[in-house]
Amino acid sequence: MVLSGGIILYICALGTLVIPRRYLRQYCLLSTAFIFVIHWFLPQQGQFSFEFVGFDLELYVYHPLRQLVSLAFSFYALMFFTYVFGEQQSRWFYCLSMMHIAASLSLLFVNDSLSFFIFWELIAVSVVLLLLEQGYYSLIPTYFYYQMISAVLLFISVGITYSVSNSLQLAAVPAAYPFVIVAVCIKMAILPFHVWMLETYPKVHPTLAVLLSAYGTKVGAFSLWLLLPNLQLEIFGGIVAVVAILYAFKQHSIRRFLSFHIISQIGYMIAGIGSLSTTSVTGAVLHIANHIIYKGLLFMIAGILLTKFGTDNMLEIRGAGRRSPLLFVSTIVAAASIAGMPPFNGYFSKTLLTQDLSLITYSLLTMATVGTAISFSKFIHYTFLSQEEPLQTNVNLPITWQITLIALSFACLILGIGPALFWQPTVWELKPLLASGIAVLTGITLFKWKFAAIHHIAVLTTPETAFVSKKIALIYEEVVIRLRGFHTGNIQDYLLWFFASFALIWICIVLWI
Amino acid sequence: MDLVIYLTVAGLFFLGAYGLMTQRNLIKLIICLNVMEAALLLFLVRLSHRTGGTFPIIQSGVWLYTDPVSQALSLTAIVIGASTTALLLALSVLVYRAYGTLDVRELRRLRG
Amino acid sequence: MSELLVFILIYPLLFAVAVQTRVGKIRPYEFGISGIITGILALILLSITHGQGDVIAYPMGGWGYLKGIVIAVDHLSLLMAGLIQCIGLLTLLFSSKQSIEKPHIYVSLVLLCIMGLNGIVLTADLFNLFVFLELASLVSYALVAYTKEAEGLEGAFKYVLMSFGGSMLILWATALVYAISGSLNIVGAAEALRQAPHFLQITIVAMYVSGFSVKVGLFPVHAWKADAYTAARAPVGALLSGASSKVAIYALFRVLSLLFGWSILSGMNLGVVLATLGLVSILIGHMLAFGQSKLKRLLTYSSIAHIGYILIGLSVFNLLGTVGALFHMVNHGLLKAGLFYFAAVATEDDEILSLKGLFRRSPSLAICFVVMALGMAGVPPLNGFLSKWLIVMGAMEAGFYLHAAVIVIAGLMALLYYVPLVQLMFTPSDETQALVLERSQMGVIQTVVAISVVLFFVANWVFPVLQEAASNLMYPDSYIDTIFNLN
Repeated sequence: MVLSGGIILYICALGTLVIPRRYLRQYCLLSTAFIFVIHWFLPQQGQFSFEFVGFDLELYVYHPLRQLVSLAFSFYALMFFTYVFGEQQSRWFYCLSMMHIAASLSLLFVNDSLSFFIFWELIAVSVVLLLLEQGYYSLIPTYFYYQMISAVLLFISVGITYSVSNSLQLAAVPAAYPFVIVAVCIKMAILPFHVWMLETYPKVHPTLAVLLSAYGTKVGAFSLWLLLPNLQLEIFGGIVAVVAILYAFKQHSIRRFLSFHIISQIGYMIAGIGSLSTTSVTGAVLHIANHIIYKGLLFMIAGILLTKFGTDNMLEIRGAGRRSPLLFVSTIVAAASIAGMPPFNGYFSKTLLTQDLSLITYSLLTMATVGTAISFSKFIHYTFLSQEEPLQTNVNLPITWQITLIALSFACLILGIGPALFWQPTVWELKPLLASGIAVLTGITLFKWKFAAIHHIAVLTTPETAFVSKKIALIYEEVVIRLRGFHTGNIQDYLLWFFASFALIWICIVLWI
Repeated sequence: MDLVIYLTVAGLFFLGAYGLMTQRNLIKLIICLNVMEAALLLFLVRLSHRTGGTFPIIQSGVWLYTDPVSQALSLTAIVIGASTTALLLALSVLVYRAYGTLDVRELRRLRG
Repeated sequence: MSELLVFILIYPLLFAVAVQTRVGKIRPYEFGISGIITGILALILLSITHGQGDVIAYPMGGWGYLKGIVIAVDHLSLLMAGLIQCIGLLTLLFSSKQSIEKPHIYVSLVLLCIMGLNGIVLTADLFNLFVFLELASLVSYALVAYTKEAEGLEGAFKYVLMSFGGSMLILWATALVYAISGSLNIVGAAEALRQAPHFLQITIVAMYVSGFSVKVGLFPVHAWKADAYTAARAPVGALLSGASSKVAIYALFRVLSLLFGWSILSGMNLGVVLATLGLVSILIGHMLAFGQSKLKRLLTYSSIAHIGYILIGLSVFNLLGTVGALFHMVNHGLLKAGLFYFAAVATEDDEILSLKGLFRRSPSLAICFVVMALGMAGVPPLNGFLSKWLIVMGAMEAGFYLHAAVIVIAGLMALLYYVPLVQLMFTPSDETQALVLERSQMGVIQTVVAISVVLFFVANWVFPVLQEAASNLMYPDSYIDTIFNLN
């Protein structure tokens, strides 16, 4: 029997409640490092399965792709705890954030829908508790309702799958497809359902955003592979990637801008996983892992900018490049990765991902790459390069932040070069190199020349709040008020209902026979 | 004869139910409840009836008794009905003190 | 050991009378609590001696099952009895620190209520069931009106009228059963009833269903429940919604499944009728709980909705659903009792708005509420999730897709009113004075929370017990045989 790494991390998370305050941060670092090592040396045989209330649970099943994502998850957990090392956080913050990571890690290895569903909800619950702990009470409803709607739909689909196949298999049956797709789309914050993301990531404390942005949506993308292994979603992914970019153009708040880029990158993953070819699926899962690294890096940069410069608006921060060269370099690395610039990791996974795609999806994704390059050029241009104010003193970053920035930047580089050299040398062929190089350069050039024009073709209105759900809420309230009107408090009405119910039941039974 | 009894039973029951839903006075409601219960008791007593049977005490030479079980049932039902009625009457006294009225439609502080 | 059954049945009566004598310096709460602990010990003793899959029956006075009164217990009854004693114990423990006037009378009323509920669970005799039901109801009326405030009286009055109507129908059905079969024993009457004309069968079933659904508080006859529980003191609400309504559901299904057997009932499509009533209850309950301004009223409406879950689980009639429903009885009983206790201490005037800033005033209480609310909404890793899962899977297996979907969506509807409460509690308010609770009250609430977390993780150990109980309900052969063998 093999204990799943996520479960071990859960036990470690309980440990944070008893460890002396002085050693808490070291403890978190050690346990996540330990988890990383565990996932590195994951046994390929063996299972962790047992019977639970009459259902067979399988909490651990080995698959190289699962291990790949879990390595990224646990490496990023290590980076996260290094990042928060210098901050003073409460005991519960450490405990809950470890539980969040643990739930995400556990979900990667499960092979039955009951435990999948439990961890699916636990991810959301841990975030809600984190928001409670950090005092963001007003953000809870939107986040929680969206996540619970997703959970409800998943629950229904699991039920349908169970009643059709009489097993707790993960792969959904066709009758359950609509429910699964919407459930996963909400989890991935695909465009009509992205409100929860905009309500959380840009509004919480930067440290919390650094944690949340890495796991929630990526788990959704990964579960697409688990839940819908036989569904063609290629073009859908391409469309998602492009549309999200169009929304991202107009954003000035860095974290909102990054949130839209998460959605766009998830479009790549959908396209890869939805193409159903082995290479592309591998590329897509690899893209999940890489995306965690560089998007985490970007969110850390956004957090550092917010902390050091006091604002989240990329137009107000000027000349950050001069004032902190390290920040500048790592931003360049991360932006190059996300845009798919060789030799960084984004290039590698995107090339692998696009190998077997149809021409339409490929061109959509190329458009998205160009768009990504444009919008990141904008980000770097305004925040780091432009200098209208007189030169100010350097910004000193704490050593823990420096370590995380350097480590993640190197990870971007190594993950781009390493696997490409030893495992898939085909990505170094001229064609993909040229294609992504040209796409990125086109993006940068377009930004330099015609950004103003592009800015105008961007989708103009960004849905700020869930106006649809507000309408539904109003209808719901109206129905409730009507319903309450029936409960007049007059006992004789109630007695009438009583005798009527007797007659009704009697008639129902008679009619049915 | 049976038909008359059963019709009476049904009539009393529906009379009670009708009264429950239409009368306003608390005391009248309580009376209606008792009328409903009386219908039931009549039915129970009718069940115990055996034509030609005597009271259910074992005597020599007598083979046909009325059914003691349903008589016991009706006795118990009477007890329960009486205690409920007592409780209701006590409640209505208190309700009158609290609300100043015996109109059941005035008892509507709790609703919604 | 079957004499223990009689003891379990009547021990609350003994203690209730003894409390009234006021001999020496009897302190009522301590006395009542020790009484219930005795009962729990007797239950444990009984379940230890109670072999695997065994049914114990005891003919009172040595008469057989045809003429005498039989009390019988199987795993299902034991489970229900355990639930009743537990909630009774928690309620007495909790109320001991509430300032309730005339504690002697209060304690003996609670004990008598427990006696009535015990009787319903243990008896195998239809008329006795009615008597115990009436006993429990009579005591509940008194408990609801205990405050003697206007609202309490009004709630109690409505409760009595509705509940008496329900009792009438149950007594009618019992009389009809007796008229047809000449026996009052559930098992003894069954055979004649199954050959009875269709018309009479339907009438009896309809009478039982609507009679018991008043006691349960199902959809068309749920309205009294909100009024009565809102008006009652919170611990009383905990006892009634935690134990009484569950016992009424138990009685409905036990009587119907023993009298007719599920084949006749499903021939009448009773499963669909009941499940649909449950479905409407869920919707109505959750909708009405939304936007209430009184905490206890909100909790009561939520409890009406949860009754719907249980009803659906039982009426899909497969093992998964039944196990889930029984599990949900336990979970909901405990959690709802916990929430009522919370309502008793968190607010004085029962206004939801006065919960504002509770987290600052008493952090642990607010956290307890969060856990209990999540449990009610059915979020893992809490027990409410597991029972909901089982019910949904059972309903899906039986083809009740709509019902399953509604149960799932109901979790979301529950969050719609719990999340604003949590938000309110965590928002700072002007009042910052710490809310200090009696240790035993806090202890009771924390116990409920701890149980609800632990039940999820030890569900594997609880599951066999529930399975036994469920199979007792679904296939009552051993129950029938044991009673037949009494003569």
